[in-house]
Amino acid sequence: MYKTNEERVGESVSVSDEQSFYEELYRAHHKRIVRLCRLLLKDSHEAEEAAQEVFVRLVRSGKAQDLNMVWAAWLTRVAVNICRDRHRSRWWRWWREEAVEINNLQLPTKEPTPEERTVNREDRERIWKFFRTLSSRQQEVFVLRYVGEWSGEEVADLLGMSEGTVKRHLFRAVRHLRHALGGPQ
Amino acid sequence: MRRCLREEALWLVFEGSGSRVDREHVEHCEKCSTRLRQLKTDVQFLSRVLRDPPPAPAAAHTPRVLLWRWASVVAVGAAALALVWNGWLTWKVRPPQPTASTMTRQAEIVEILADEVSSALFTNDDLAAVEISARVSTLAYVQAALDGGWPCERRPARRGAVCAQRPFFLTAEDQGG
Repeated sequence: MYKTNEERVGESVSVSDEQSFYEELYRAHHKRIVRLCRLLLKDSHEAEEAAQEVFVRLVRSGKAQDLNMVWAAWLTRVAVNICRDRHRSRWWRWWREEAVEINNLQLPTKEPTPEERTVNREDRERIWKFFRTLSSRQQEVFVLRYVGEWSGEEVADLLGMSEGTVKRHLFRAVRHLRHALGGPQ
Repeated sequence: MRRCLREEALWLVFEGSGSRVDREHVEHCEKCSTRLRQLKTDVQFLSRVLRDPPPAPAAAHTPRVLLWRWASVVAVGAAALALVWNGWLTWKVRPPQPTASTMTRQAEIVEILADEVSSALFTNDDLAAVEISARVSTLAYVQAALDGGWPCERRPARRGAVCAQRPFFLTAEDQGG
């Protein structure tokens, strides 16, 4: 079970503890980080790679001793930065899409959850298509606020921008995405 | 009663950071409270869809993407080839024009040559030294040549004897005299 920072305060961290600590962090956050990367990047394969990179950076940073660290926020910030770095090499990614798309086609179709069944495929495709047309900042803000469920203040802190800027990006993102649902024009 | 809230103001109320007046308005306005509920539903729906993995791309989508990818590469290559070809043709039809400096240099050379050559060719400085005594009777020279003789004026050494024996008119002055 992943311990909160408060629970860890006062504990001494040995090498074996450090290893198990990383494992706990991985178990607790990996899925969330992959989802975040998948939203900010274009394909799931690259999202997996980016998530792995996040945890590699965690180990390299040697921050296990830092008991006051808010790990969820730290990992999220690192993940966002890695996704931004990967966004910058768009040309390379554009070529890589070829293999990824073919890969996706070859994968067995995942059994849809009951929730997924209620949303028809056309709606999901349309929403994702609209989401992809958002700017990088709008995507980041929307994902962190409504998918990651961080508060507006936390999002501002994670992305290093003012709360007002976060609200502005967020409003534009919501307005744009609601168009996909046939919302107010 | 106040007018209904703008979309942004309504969204701020949804975010919990709208003004007190706006919040009160939403509470009392049937239309705005419906809009707010719809906004909540939409945002929840959107976040729920985005939490799930994106739908796999349709099979028909991939060839189109590949086609566009390679088409763009081919287009860039063709454009580069056309530029090179066009440049070569232009070079072939019309060689590059001399530059302004080259033209100036060529004009200077021509000017210098014209000055020197024309003065050498057409100078009349030595004309004064040549004595053209008079118009020569060409026919007399020809006849003298045919007869194996030579005009007396050219042979001053032999002038006395030959010219005395075979006198013929050699010059206009002779003719006149």
